[in-house]
Amino acid sequence: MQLSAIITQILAGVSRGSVLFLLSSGLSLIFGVNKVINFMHGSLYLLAMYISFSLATEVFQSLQFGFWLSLIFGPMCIAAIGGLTEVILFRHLYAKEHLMQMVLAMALVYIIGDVIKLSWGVMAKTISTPPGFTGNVEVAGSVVPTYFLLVIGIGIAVAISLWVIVNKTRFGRLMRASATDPSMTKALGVNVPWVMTAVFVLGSFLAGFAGVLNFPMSSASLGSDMEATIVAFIIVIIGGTGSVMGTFVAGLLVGIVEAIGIMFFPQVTIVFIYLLMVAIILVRPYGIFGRSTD
Amino acid sequence: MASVSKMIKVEKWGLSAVIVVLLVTLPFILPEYWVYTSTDIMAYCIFALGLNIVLGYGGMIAFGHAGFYGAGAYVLALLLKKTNVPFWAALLLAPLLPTLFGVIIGFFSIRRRAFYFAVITLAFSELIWAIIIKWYTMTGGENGITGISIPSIISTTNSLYLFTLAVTSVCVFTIYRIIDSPFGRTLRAMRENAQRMEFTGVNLDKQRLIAFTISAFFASIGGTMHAIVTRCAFPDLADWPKSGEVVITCMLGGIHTFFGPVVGVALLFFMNSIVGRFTQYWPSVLGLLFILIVFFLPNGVVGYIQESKLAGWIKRIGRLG
Repeated sequence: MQLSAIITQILAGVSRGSVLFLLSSGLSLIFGVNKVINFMHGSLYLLAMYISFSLATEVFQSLQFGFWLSLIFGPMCIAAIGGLTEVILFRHLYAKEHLMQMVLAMALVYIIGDVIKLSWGVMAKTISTPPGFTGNVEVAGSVVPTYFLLVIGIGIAVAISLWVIVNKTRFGRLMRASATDPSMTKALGVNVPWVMTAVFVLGSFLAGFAGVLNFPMSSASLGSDMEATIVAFIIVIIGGTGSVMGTFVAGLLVGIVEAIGIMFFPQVTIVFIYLLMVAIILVRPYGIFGRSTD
Repeated sequence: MASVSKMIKVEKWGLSAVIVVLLVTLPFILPEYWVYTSTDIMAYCIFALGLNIVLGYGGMIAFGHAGFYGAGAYVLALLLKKTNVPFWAALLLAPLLPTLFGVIIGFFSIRRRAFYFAVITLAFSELIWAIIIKWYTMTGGENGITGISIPSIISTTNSLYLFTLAVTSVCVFTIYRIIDSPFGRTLRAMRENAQRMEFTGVNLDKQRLIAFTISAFFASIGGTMHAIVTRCAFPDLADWPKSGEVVITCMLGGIHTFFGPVVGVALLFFMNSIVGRFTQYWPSVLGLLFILIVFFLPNGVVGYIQESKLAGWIKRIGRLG
């Protein structure tokens, strides 16, 4: 196998890793602050792809700006959906046992899955790379689609932004306080329920954003919702909860392992991801960058 | 105290005997379709009761039990179709591999709290599903395995029903004894206050792993029986919607009751047959059901009945929560 092909594939893995990071960071936030095991995260990711498909091909007709507009509006729809489910449904379950929250999230996965089937049918949808990024670029002697580099760039930008938000802003402080001790934080005058909703909205936005960004590189098909959710969970487990850096590194790791796996052992690629997870939790039970917050 | 417990025991056995007699005579009363459905219900009951060992009694949220159910079905199907293992041997051997999976999966997931446990069990069950669906040469992938042949003694609808009834009864009885044993009591105590149990010297991880393995064992028996009843095995038996379905089944009936899951299974099959006639969107109905239960019936149907004023004596017999 030529080196150039390998480099291309690895960069494909890195860009996929970038997408995975975006997806998983949303999940990590929601789990960290709201303490909800959000099974429907992957469903939102998938839903975003379908929504952006409709936005780009029907609402915004031409693909010129269509894709970029759907990159903005698609995730916003998803964020709104996330916010609504939080306010109407999840909010009432925070005080109850975890089983109820998980079951609720699972219920929404079923429902969203059927909504997708009902609205868009069972055929997979694809979208072409947006104009301006359809070309290729030479990196270290290999040919790499320009879009990959865009995705990687966006991923890094978001990672830095998220880190700044979580660690350096007031909202980030409120998030961390609500995550550590909600009742005390509330007692200090913070509107904790609002913070929870905001985090859920942000997390859902990230999931939607990841979905739309990933769409040109892949396809939207029924069944990839739970697939995405599980990969996101695995990344959060590998990287450790509560760490933007951890999620980023883990995302890249999984993306690259997946890419290499597809190249050499296409049928059993998925097993490698599981082996990676198992290996990491044996060595570092709380993830690479995780701390024991139990 | 002794006379009261003796009274309850007699009542318990009396009721059980009545139920068994009723069940045995069912195939001669009901139309064939219902007998067949009841047989499938019984197989699913083993699955649900198995799950409830960890879900209700262990307090462990396991979203990956369909992996064992599906594996149980597939191992039986593969043994019967690809090897010359005789039926009765296959029946005994089939649940062993999924139970082994249970030990391995349990080993990695038990240590952690609810989040990791639920996610890792789900993830591993998806791995099992992925293997089933990708290994085309072995499992036929999406097409599944059909046309499993079973011995003629049990191949008529009625005889299959009675055979399944026998197997189910043994399983129910065994699970009951396990829950009612010191082990079962320890498990329930761990659910209530793990830290205190740890202070009394209980090895939490070991006990939970044992419970999880037993639970996986029964789940796989359920799958094996299902394959026998339906004569086939399909990948969706191991997929996550099935895992969610069995959880909702237990919750529908009541996870903190012994027969709750059984009631849940019956209701589930009933609803499925009705809904199936009108729409193909059974998942949405299931989802809505989940939501209704979470908000209005968190203790399930049987749990609700128990807490209400009626059926005081059913309470005493059925309650083992």
